[in-house]
Amino acid sequence: MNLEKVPFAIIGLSHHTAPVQVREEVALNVEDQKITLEYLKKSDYTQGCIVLSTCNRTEIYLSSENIEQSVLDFKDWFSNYKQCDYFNNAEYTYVHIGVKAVEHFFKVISSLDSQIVGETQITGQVKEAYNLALEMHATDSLINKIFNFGIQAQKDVRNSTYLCAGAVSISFAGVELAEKIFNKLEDKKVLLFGAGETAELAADHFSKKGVKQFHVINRTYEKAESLAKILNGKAFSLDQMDDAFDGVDIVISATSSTEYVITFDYIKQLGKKRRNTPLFLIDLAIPRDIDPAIEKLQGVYLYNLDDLQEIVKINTSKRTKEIPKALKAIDDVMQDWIEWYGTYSLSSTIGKLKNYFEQVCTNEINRALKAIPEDSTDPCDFDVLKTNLINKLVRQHIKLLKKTNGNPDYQQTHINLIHDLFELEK
Amino acid sequence: MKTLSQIINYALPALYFFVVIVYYQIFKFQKRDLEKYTVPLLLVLLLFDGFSIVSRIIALKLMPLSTIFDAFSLLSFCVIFVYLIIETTIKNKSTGLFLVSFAFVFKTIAAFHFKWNAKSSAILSDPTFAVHASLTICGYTALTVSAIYAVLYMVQEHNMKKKKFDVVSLQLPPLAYLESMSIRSVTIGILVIGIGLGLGHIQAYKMFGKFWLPDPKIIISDLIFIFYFGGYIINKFLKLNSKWMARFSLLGYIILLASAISVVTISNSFHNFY
Repeated sequence: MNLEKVPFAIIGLSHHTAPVQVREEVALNVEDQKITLEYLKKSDYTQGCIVLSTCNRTEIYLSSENIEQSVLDFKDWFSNYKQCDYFNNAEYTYVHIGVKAVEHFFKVISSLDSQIVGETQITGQVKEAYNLALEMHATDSLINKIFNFGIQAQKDVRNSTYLCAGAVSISFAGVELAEKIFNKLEDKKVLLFGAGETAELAADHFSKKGVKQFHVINRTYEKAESLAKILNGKAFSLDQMDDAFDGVDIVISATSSTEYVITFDYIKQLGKKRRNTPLFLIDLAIPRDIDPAIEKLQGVYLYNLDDLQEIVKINTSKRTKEIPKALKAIDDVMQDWIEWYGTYSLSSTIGKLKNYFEQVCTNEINRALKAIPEDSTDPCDFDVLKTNLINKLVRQHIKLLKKTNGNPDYQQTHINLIHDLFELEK
Repeated sequence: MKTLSQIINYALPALYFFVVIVYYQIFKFQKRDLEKYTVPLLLVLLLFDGFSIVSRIIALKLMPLSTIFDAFSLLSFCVIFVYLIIETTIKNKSTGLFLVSFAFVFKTIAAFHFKWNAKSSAILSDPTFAVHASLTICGYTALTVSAIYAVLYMVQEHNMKKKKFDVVSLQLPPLAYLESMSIRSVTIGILVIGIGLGLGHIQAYKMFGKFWLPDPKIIISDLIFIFYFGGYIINKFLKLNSKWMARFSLLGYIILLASAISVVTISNSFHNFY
């Protein structure tokens, strides 16, 4: 089995090969994706396809008996459609054919090829792309199977490694730290000090982790109210600080104040009311909003931007260390896929052979039926059909043997093959 | 039966050590592919350990608490049993290394100090004694688990305060979880030991006509119970901070261990009156 001849290819460009301006130009929105799938479906050269387009990559997966031609055909069409020639530019574009394309697909779906290795969004994006192709009947059995193996690969990577573990963004690192202090975040109350974009992004991460109770306090009450509305929380003005802190477990501060807005004395006083329940404070502001002396207090955990950056650094390096393990998991799935493909490629050949014989028989029977009188009972009339069938079926073998006349070794191989095939006496 | 029991007894520390190594690999090197083996391994360990304890009891006609080393052995078994429940309930394997290591140390000490000469006592056939002994060991197991979680809490609390993000800090479960496990175990320990000691006093009354005897182990056990119970009540009403409770649990356990060891060196059987 020649794995380079696997009729599967990928043509694409990504953050590894192309700058953002180029990626923007070739990016395909859902409508574009549908048009592309429609074209490929109708193309004579392509049997199956998936179109994946994210902010970091645009990749087209093709399945075809004539894969090189299929790639060329797509490139031509795409250049015309998008009015840009990036897919013909080797500097930006990569084309993988055969087993390399399959391996690339497994790496993409498992997030090993992502800009932030281990991010989980890509798996969902590939699934969406596949579902769109499936809805439009643009996939074939080979692509369907490669997708299923891809899903298995990403599951294995996620279950056997820590590639996707640990926050790799500052705002998410805050959530991860909160999870190191509190068992569950669902019943925790978060106070946002400031109502800007930073506070909103942090709140969004906490909300996704199940936090339902938000308090928002801001110098401009209207801004606090507007963010509180989005979060289904309560808004407070600065003179309502005590109310804002009531029952709060997590404080995220991101104001533009040049002085500390949360002081040591205030938190110390608050500790008495809180009866020693833990308080987690995240200072996302520069200059800092929270007096660093607060971290001396019992049961109070204070983290600033540098601390969160440190966590991101540790997690990123941890993910990098997991790459060899993830590659090993992908390699294992590749071996399974190769085994499957061995059977698949045989069954495909068997199917084609059956179709060929059926076609020959049908043609010859139809021809014979025209030649033989309807009321014929003479067996000799059917001898013509027999002779024609034999001639048709043997013709290919004879043609092959004659073709090898100039090459005795090659011819002998074919003679042996025919002997073996039909169990002829040597 | 005795030979088989002896063979398993000496093989058990090696099996415990093997499980410790597996948990070490998971904790230190984050080998996720090993995680699926921990529950079957713990079950095998419990099966062998349980067989070892039962076969020793049958072969020598002993009760589980006949000597301090029998108590150590049963304690290890109970720690593994409790930990298995914890691991299967919360699906967190990061504290396994600490609990299994603890059980390994006690199992090893017990395995190499057992005496294999059979002896019998009338008290051993008394069902009240059996319940008393079993409950007491269960209570001590709960206090052991509590002390281990208290240590882990203090380590993690220190890491969170000092912003140390090493392997230990990243692998350990949340502070709130460690705290609740420690407090929950102490509560169970106090309750179970309370009942166990109560039954012990009833046993003493049945045998000697007195609820209380000046036996060093009775004195120590009662004092330890009062210490834990008092600490628990203080915390309940004063709502002291989590660190205080962790320190209290650990201190109580150190006193418990030190007293048990010193009492054993004074008297050579579990209770002087046997």
